[in-house]
Amino acid sequence: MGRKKKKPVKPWCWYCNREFDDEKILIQHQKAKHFKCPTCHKKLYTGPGMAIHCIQVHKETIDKIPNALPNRNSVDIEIYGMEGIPEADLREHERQKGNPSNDVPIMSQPSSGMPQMPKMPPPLTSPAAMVAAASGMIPPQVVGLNIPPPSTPYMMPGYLPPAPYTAPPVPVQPQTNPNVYATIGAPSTPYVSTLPLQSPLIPPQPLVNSVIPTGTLTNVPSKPLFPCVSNTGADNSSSTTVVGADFKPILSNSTSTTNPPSSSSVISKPASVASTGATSRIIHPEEDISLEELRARLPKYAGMIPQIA
Amino acid sequence: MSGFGGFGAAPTSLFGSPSSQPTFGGFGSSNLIQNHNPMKDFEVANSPDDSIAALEFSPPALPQNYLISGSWDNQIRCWEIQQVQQGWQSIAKAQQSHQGPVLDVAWSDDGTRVFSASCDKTVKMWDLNSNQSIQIAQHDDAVKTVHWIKAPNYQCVMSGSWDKTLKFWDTRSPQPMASIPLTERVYCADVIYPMAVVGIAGRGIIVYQLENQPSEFKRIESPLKYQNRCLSIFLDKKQAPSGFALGSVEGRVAIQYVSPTNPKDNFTFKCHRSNGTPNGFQDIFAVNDIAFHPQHGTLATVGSDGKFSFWDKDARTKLKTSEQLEQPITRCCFSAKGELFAYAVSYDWSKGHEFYSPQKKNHIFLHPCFEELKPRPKT
Repeated sequence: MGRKKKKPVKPWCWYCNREFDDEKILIQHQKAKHFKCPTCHKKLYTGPGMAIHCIQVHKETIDKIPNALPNRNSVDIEIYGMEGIPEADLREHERQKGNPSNDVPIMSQPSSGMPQMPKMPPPLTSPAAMVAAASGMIPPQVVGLNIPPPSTPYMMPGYLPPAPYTAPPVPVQPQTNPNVYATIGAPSTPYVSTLPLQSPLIPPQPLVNSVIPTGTLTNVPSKPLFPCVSNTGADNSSSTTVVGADFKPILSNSTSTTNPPSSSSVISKPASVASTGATSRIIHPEEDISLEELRARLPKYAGMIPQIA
Repeated sequence: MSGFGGFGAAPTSLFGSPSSQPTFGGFGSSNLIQNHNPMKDFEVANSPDDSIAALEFSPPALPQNYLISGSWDNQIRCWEIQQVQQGWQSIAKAQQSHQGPVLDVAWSDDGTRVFSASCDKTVKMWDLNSNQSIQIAQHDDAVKTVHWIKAPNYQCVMSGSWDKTLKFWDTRSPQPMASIPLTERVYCADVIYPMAVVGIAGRGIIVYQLENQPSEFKRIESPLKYQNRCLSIFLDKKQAPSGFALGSVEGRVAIQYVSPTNPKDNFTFKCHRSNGTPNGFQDIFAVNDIAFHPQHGTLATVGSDGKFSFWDKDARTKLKTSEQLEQPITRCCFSAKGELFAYAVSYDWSKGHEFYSPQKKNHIFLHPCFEELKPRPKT
């Protein structure tokens, strides 16, 4: 039994039963083979995400995941790498792997979808190749589609002129581009499946605010690039831009605004993370003070500080 | 810079013999990384004996590259970094010490002086030509940040402390030119004239404009939900500071324009998190430092997870992630010409003192990076 443990089941693709050495490669495979929009070749993050994309962008309904086994082509099941595989299929696969005739591992399903599977490039093994592969996971055109590169900032004449600050806060995203949501929300189930129902009419601000925090904590797989391009910061700054345009100190009123968070901010990290119902934890001591302050308390360091006023 | 050779005569064995302690298993419980240099980078010789809290390359005014570190063993060290046939080599040049851990270092713009902020509540100025070090600033608590401000009509040193003040020193007077009381302790700061940004406890951020004299410009509540940890100002296409990147302890970085033309210019992204295991936790690590590439404008982040990543904030893409190092990466910086990325591998206290092992060796690595940080071509 020690031997069995030694060889854990490799990551495998639910859609086509293919095995991979690394879940990263598996995810790449899924994006390239199963989550690629047949119309525009955009790579989405999940099957449902792709279906939503096709409906919203191309007005096309996708009823089958491309390149999938006949009984594994549901667009309703959200799979991301090894996440979301139905428990029964997981057990079935493990059982198949567990049996000694390991040379026919792929045929765990009666269907014969395999022969049609296009050849995949051999799994990347060198670290450099993996990194390169990982960073290429979203092709540039995807990014271009979703988030136009901010060319505007460079038009700004520095940060000094006061004019921009008087601009009213603009929390509303001009266009609800479905692509954005598909990409942002892709790996975690809840909002991908619900968002399309909400459609562009929903005011985006509450949406962004609610999506981002939960999304960050529930997204178990950490995605390889700017996984959560959100505009939360924008709202903050634009709402506070009214002050300080004349460079005058604004201590009086902002004292009250900065104090509450600090006094109440003994964030019990694991607790707060758990309270979101997520499966993540922040690797940080519980006390919400800087690591340096904690460390400096150690007698070894504190002892060296001369007690001068 | 001929006068600068003055301190170059120090022997290479200045920092004592290199530690011969073997490196033990990996940082953290689950991984066993035997290799202390998975990126096959060039290791800086005679690295500090305790965690590295500060790291800065010399400014463009110097033709050579010098690297300064400040560390928890109270030392400030200086190396000359030379290009040799096989790559890069470091030559230990000199060191100075404080009475307490050194939390930050900064160069003067002409590269002749180095300023260091320490838990001993002082800032010292180290004149590299004479190798003399004198105290130039005093706080009531540990000094967390130090920066050099070079304005057309004045120059000074800015120090931020856990005593909740930001002070400005002309380096000759024991009294500060200005002292700005803050509501909270200073955690991070950056200066690129005419902008200074200070991150404080309680998620506050204060932007100062430095023309004529430092004055508060704007207060922002952090766009991130967790403690401010590191901060770096970035430039726009005209090489004027236009915003900053802020890293928090919750594996996240905010790109924040001070005057965004469009609210959507500001955004946040996640980083330094473990890949979630199917039924385990996802570990989220602190972002320990952020640095912008001096030529490309792309950025590097380093984290408690022991990895560094390169990003293109304009294309909003990741350019590269490193392998995992044995210990967290505490600080990073780019050389003035942008050919080298230096990163310091040492314990950052993110898992508390239980995980602190003084026997573990600390490393500073040099990673040739000019190509890797080129922005993603626009398509």
